[in-house]
Amino acid sequence: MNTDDRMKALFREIFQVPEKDFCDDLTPDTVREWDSVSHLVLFTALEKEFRIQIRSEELIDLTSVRKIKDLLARKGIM
Amino acid sequence: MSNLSRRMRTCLALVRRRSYLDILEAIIASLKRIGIFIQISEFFTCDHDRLSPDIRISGFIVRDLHPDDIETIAAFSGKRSEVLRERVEKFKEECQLIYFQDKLAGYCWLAFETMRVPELEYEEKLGDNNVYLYDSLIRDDLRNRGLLGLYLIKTIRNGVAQHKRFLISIDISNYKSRQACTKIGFTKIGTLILIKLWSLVRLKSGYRSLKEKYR
Repeated sequence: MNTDDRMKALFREIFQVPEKDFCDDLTPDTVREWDSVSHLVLFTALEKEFRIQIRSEELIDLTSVRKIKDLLARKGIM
Repeated sequence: MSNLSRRMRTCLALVRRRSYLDILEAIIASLKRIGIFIQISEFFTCDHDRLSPDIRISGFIVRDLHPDDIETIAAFSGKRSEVLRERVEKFKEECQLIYFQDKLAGYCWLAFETMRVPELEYEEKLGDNNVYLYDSLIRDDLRNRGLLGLYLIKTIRNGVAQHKRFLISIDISNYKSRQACTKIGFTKIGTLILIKLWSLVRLKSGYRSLKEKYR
């Protein structure tokens, strides 16, 4: 599975976003299930799935799929 | 397009999207304009430690409110400092301040003696070990980033170890907070509905049965 597919799977599992609706523009404002607790779940799931360490200032900045992809790219994934 | 047909179209769009809460909110807002005030809140409790795993985030600090902080919190929340001082001095309530990376990110109030919900005209004595969490606020630019979830998980974890039971009330329109609390481990114990007709008649529902559930 490539990174995009792994991200889609995470978003389906955590936020119930169907794969067809997955896009870079998803944010907490557009995804109803993206609440404070789900954000923490996403944070731990990303660390586990991609075997990375996310710093607290990065956690706060993970406010869209695009930003998550940018973070993964900075960490050498994608 | 007339105002009525615009509203009808909006309503149909909401029905198509199955946004029933949005429809309810729109109806409540419309009724308010003609003097019918409706307030609906759900009440949740949590007294177990089957919570989400503890998550450590560096730079996340919670500390108790100091009397010197009241002016800062008043400015932060837009509330009058006398109101906040009364909570501390008269009602013996506590406030916890949430800091993230050395900056004030939010706060949450804790009541131990009386649960007061002014918007529902509801006030009841809390039984032993009950803690009512209310008036929590996270800075706009930090909302939905996990800080309130983290605060609740840590607070409840610590409190449950001391046999505390936590209560919380959430406005029916606040979907994200309700979702977050359910995920943390809160369970719904009741719904209070207050309907005021032109400030003359008050209809209340759920009030009597609720207090039996947390006493």
